[in-house]
Amino acid sequence: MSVVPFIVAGVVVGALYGLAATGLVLTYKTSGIFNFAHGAVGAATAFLFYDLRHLRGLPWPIAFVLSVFVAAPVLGLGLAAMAARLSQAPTVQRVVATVGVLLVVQGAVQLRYGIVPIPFDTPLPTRSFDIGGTIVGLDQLITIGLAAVALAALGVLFRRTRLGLEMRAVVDNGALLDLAGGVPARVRALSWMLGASFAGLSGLLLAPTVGLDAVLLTLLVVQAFGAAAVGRFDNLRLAFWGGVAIGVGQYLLRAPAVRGAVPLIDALPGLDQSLSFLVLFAVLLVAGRRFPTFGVTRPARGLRPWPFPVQVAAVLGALAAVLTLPFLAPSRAPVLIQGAVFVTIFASLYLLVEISGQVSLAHAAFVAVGATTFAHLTRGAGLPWGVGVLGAVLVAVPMGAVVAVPAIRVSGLYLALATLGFGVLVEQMVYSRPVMFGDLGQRFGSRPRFFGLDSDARYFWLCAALAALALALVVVIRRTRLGRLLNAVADEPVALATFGCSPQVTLVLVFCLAAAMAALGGALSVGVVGSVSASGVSPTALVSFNSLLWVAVLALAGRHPLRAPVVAALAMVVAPSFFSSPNMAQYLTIGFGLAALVASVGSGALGRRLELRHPADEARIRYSPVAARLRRPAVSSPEVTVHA
Amino acid sequence: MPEPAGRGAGLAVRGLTVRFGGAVAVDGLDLDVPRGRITGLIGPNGAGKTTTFNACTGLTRPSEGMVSLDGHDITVAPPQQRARLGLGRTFQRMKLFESSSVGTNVALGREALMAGGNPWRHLRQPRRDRRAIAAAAAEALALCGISPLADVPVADLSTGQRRLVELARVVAGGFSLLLLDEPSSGLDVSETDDFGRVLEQLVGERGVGILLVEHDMRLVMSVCAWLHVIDFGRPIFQGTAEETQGSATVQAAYLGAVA
Repeated sequence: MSVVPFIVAGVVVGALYGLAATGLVLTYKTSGIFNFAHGAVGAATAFLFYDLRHLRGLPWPIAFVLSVFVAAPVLGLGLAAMAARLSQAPTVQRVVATVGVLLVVQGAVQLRYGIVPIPFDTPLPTRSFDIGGTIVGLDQLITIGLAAVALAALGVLFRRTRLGLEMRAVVDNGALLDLAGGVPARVRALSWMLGASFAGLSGLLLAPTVGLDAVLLTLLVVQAFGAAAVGRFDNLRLAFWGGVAIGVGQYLLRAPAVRGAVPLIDALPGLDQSLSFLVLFAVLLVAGRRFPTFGVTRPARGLRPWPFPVQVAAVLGALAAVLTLPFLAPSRAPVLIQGAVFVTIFASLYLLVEISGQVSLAHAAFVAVGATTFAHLTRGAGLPWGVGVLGAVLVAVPMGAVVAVPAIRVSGLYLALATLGFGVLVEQMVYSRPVMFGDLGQRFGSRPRFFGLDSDARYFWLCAALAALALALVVVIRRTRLGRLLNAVADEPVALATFGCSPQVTLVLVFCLAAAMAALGGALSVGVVGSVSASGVSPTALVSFNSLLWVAVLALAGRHPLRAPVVAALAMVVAPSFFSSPNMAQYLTIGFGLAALVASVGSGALGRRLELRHPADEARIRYSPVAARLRRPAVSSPEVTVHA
Repeated sequence: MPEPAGRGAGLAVRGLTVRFGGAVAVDGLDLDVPRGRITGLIGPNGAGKTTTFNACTGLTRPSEGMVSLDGHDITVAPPQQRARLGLGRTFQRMKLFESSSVGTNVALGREALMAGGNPWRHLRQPRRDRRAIAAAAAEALALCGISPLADVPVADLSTGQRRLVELARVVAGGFSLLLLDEPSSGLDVSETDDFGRVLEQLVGERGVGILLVEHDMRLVMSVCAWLHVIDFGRPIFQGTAEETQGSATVQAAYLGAVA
């Protein structure tokens, strides 16, 4: 069988990836905010079309126009307003804000239309032609045509209109246009509307290939991340062709002729789906240093410690709670244990995100490696519990070192994207292999048998004690040499290197430590119900999407090394068990998404509260505008002289 | 007047050329920075001074030429290795550890060197190290006159104070050769005079060598034993302060050639 039909199908899907990537790069370049919710916009548009066309019976052209040209751009406007408020925000805040949108949209769509994929036939005519011996569908031709029209319209806008000229100017140098009296705000709004429309169009036209599934569709449009990387997050045309290349590559990997010629492909199941993330990871690793960066600050430090008596009371209260809870609420034991486990996991994430400023989106993969290694060593190889836990921790260390490689090469957003790519790669290509969850997607293990630790109460105490150890480790690291070096790496890695410290070593160390701690959490989580699964919809499931959720939840929980991981675990794992609703997962997703949005965008009371800044700091900032500017190195200019 | 001898070989730059695409930022520069004296590197804006610094400290890879430190070829060595050999620098666009206090910034100047590239030394901090760090930081803070600021977050400082923190940090590092990139910009006249005295003290008491890039000619002329002048990346003159002030070539470069 010829490969030509595969190439045709690849070009069709690739054109849609390219279209989405073009919209993504357009918004990123004009605002500096990378839209993690780009795929969610595409999914929401497709669902809206389905709603209007199939549930409400509107004629398809009207449904099409309403969803792609009205609803998506309105969503885009909202995103533009959000992006404007984030222009000086730290990386984690930028990531968390659009992740918040992603969570809200995805949760809302699942709530409204359910989590079962809805079959969705293409709204386009499906007659087919024979072109030179290859069968080509009319829908395929129309899809390519629509993508071409959209791009041509963008081209005309760029070349022939004043607004388009301003748009190109913003893409090249927004600050310069600002100085020249242009209106970048208007241009940015238009870019976001166009970007959202492109995402919507590509989501709508991709929907027939997977059906209406909020998660899958989001992930499909997210294939545009790889295409955007090909365009160096900078070049619209290259991003489009990158999309086409990825689409063709995916379909060629599925072609029997190619699979026959290259046996390696069969040894790597899931390679076709992961191709985009492979490209994303590889491109960032190789060339990420030269990609455009936007002024990013780190949040000011200055945690307000609780008064000593309050600290003592809090510690005693926590201790009393841990000791008595298993008896007060025996039915909630699994939830409590899972909560304690997640304190450890959040502590490891805190180490990366907060102390060393590395926004890592591969945390679920670390936890999954720990859990499966533990299961293999104990249930599989019959080794004792302690050996299983130790093995899980040790196996995660080299994996942490692997993820540290992109951290050495790139930082900020590009590190977040590279680690996201890595997490998705592991999930799609390794989870189903025997080395991890295997074909059944599930592994089993048990609690320790000694000292009666397999009882609910005692296992909870064990997990709580280990969580306390993890928290103590974070506090110790923060106060000692490694903590100071990590802080310095986060602030100025170049300066640190010129003082004789190898930032590479510092980064590898922190990633290895964080991976080991996360793997410890993974190993302990197996004992909660005796098994661990590769999939799931709960916030604690080890799917790569949840890595995003966890970073958002931790950011919401504040910045204190002890309180933040505990609050995050309580909010995400324990609190939901007090509400019983079949749609709990969706409510949670929406709730965390909204909270993330408000916290990162709101410079208002909530946002400030969550930063836990010292009130004196606030006053200083408020009444001393110059000092406030100096606080943010990205906008301070060395020529500003202040005499205190 | 012949070039005054310093002590020790120090930093030697031979035929340094740095190109960015088609643009030649530095073109065939020779430079000697011995210990025990202050060497000045001056030139109009865009002459290639910071690029020279970056090539010397490993932040920019030279297109041609060689950089050596006490006879070790360090042309392609990473920045941290050069630092371990005793080469320290400050930045024209200051790179302070913004989320830390003045004291921590200065202490990190020494602590980073101790941690080096050894993971174990990243984790461990022997008491001996801690004492050495505290002593070096206290001395550097006192030398630069910013001891009272030790607990202030650097983000709250004025530009002039930040310059002094950068200097104190590199002083605490204990480097034997310092490359200072416009260290006095943002300082007022009396602060600049104090600053000059700090530099002379460093050279006199510790015997370090300094390569100074500076636009404040009063400071340059008063502390530099030898001056290199570059323009458009090319060396155009070298000599003592008096010779440089009297040079027609240098005046032409700064003020434009007299038609």
